[in-house]
Amino acid sequence: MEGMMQAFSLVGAPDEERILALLSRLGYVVADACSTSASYTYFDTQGGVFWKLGLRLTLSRGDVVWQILKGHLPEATLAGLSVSDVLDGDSIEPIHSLTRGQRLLPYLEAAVVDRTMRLSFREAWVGTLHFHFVEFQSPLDREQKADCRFAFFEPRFEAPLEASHLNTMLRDLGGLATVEYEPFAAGIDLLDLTPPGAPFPRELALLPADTAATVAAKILARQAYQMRANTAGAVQDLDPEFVHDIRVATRRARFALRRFRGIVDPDRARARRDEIAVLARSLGSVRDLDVFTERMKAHLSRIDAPEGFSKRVLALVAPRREAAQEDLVRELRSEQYLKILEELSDARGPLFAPPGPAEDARSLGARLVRRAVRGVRRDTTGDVRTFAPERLHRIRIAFKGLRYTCDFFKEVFADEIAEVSRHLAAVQDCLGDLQDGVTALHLLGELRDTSNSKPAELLALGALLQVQREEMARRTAEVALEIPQVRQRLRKLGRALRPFDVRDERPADPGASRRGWPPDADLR
Amino acid sequence: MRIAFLSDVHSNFPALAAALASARKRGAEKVLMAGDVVGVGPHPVEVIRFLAGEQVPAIQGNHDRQLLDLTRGEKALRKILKRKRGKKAVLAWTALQLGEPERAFLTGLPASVSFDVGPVRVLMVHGSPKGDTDYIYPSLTRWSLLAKLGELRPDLLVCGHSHIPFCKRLAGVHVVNAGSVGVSVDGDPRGAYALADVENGRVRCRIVRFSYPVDRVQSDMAARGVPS
Repeated sequence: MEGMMQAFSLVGAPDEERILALLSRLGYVVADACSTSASYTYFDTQGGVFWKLGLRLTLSRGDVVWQILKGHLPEATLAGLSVSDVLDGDSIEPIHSLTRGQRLLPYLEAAVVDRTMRLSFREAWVGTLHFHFVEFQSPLDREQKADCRFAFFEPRFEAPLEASHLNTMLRDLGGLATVEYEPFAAGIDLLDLTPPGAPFPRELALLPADTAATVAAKILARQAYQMRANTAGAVQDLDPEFVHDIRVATRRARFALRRFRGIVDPDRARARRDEIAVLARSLGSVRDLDVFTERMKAHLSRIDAPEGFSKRVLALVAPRREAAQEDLVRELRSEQYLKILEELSDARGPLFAPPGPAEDARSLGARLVRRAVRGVRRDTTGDVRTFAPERLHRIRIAFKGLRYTCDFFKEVFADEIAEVSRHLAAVQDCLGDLQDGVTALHLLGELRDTSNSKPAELLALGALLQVQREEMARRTAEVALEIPQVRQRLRKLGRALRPFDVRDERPADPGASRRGWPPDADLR
Repeated sequence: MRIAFLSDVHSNFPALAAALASARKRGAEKVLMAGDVVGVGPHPVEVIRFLAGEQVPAIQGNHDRQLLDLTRGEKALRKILKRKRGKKAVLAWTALQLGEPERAFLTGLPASVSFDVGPVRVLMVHGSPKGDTDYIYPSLTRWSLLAKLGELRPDLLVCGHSHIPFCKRLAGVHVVNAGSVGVSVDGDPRGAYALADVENGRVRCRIVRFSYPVDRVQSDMAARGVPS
C-alpha cells in the first residue's frame, strides 16, 4: 500500500456484507478470499523528520519498509536491513542523511488483519478488494488502544481508473463514509496522540485579523501544546530533545506572559511565570548536563587522553543527571504542572479575562517585533569582541526575545521575518554555545578540583579546557562578524513593519525627525 | 403499477443513485430510463455499469447517439479534447473513459420503447416521436402533439431531452416529460423524475424532485478533468 488512498471507514462486519452485496448487484464477482496478518511499529525522530517529509518508516520483524506518501523516494533502497541495523543507525543511508544521527523512536504499533478478495467484472480481473481490521496501540502507554476497520480497492496496474469508478459507486450507493486512509495518521488520530515533531493544530495558527487577546491565547496555547506533547518522552527519558523542547516552550511561555502585559491578567501571569520558573530550573538542570555530555564527547575525540579519563569526565555528570531527572519527573507529574498547562490552553479562562487593546495581530506583532528590534540594537552597540561574558549573556537574552517574538508572528509577517530568521538563529546559536561553554568551563573546573593530580590526567584536562576555550573564542569571533550584518537587517525589518504599527505616530518622512520629532536612534 | 421514468442522467452518478433510492422509497415497481445516459458529468462508466447491473430498461438519447457517432481512435479523441470546447470536448472525454462493455451497452440501446400495462399503451422516447433532438415543452398544444405523434396513439407518452419536467393531458394522451435526473435547468438544483401510477386502465402522473450531493459531482468533475 502506498500513499494516502480513498478508503471507506466501516463500523463493523455488516458493512462488509453490504459492500459485497452491492458489488454483486453491480455485476462484480468476488473470489479467492484470503486473510493475512502483520504487526509493525512506526518509527520517527523526536522532531518528526519523516512525518514532515511525508515518509513513513515501519519496522517489522527485521523488515524495513518505507511507505511513501509524497512524490519523492529516498536515494537508496533499504530492503534486507535488520531492525538492529536501523535502530543502531551507524552506517545506514539514507536514514542517516535524513535523521542526521537523531534517535529513532517508536510512535505507534499497528496489528493489521488484511482480508483480500480478487474482484472481476465481466470475467476480467480488475483488482483486489481489501478489508483492513487494524488495532493500534501506543508504545509509550500500553493502555492506549483503539481499533478500526477500513475497506479499499487496489486496482490492477493496467486498470488504474477502476478504483475511481468503484469508489464512486460504493460511496453513492453504499452511503459509506469515505476517508483518506493512511494507517499512521489514522492511528495517531484515533488514539489522540501527538504526531512526531508535534506540529501545531490548525486552530492555533495566527490570522492577521485575530484580536490581541486571541493572539495571546493562541501563542500561550501553543507553548502548552509543546509542553504536553513532549512530556511523556521527557518523563521516560527517551531522547534529550524532549526535555529541550519543553524547556524552550517554558521560556517562550514566560516571555509571552511578560510581553503580553495589558492583554493577560497581570496577577495570574506573574503567578504562572513564577511556577513555570520552578519547572524551568528542573528542566535546565537536566538539559545543561545533557549539553555538557554531548559537548565533552565531541571535545574528547579531539584530544589525546589517558585511559579512563573520558569515563571520569562523563561520570562526573552521571549521578547529577540521575538526580536532576528524578526531580524533573516529579515536576512533570505534579498537579501544578497540569494546572499550568490547563490555564495556558484555556482561551476563555481567567488568564485572558482583560479585554485587551484594540489591536489586531498585525499591529500587535509589528509593535512587539519593533520593540524587540530596538532592544537588540541598543544592546549590541560597540565592538562585540570586547564584551564581557555578562554583557554577552544580556545580548543573548535580547536576541532570544527578538527571535521568540519573530517566531510568534512569522505567519502574519512571513516574508519580512523570513529575511532575518536565519541570521537571528545563527547569532543565537553562537551566543547559546558561548553560554554553554561557560557552564562547561565551570564543570571542568570542578573536575580539576577533584582530580587525583596524575600528570597525564591533568594534561588531558588542560587540553580539554583549551579546546573549550578555543571554541568559545571561535564563536565570539563569529558573533562579532555576524552582529553588524544582523543589525542592518533588523533596521530593514523595523522599517518594513512600521506601517503596521498603529501606535507609532511618527510621520513616515524621515526628514521630520530633523524638524524636532524625538529621535529613535535604534531604528535608523 | 407504479412506474418511475428517469431521463437525462448525463453521467451524474450521485444523482442517479439518489433518484433510484427516491423511486424505490416511493414504491416504484419498475424503473425505466428515457435516454441521454452519458455526456456532461464525470461518471459515465459508473452510470452505465449501474444501469446494466440493475437491468434498467433504457433508450438511446441524442448524446448517447452522438458519442457513438464520434468513432475515433484514442489519439484523435485526445486531439479533440485538446482543441475543442463545449459539447464535442465533453463527448470526446466521455468516449475516452468507456471500455468495450460500456460502448456495447450504449450501442444496444433502442431509440424508443413501447409496452402495455393492462390496457394502457405506453410509449417512451427521448425527444419526441419525431426524433431524439425534437423538443416537447410544457407549452405543447393539442395540434403540435398530434403532429409529433403522427399515426401513433399511446395512452401515456414519456419523453425527456428538454430537462423541463411536466405532466399534462392533451388529446386523450398523458404527456410526461421526466425532466432531468442529472442536469437541472429550470432553476431548481434538485434532480427530477416522473412517477406514473397505472391501474385499471387509468393513469396518474406526477413529477418528483430529489436532492443529491451536487458538491461531490463538482469535485469529481474537477478531479477527473471533465471539460466544461
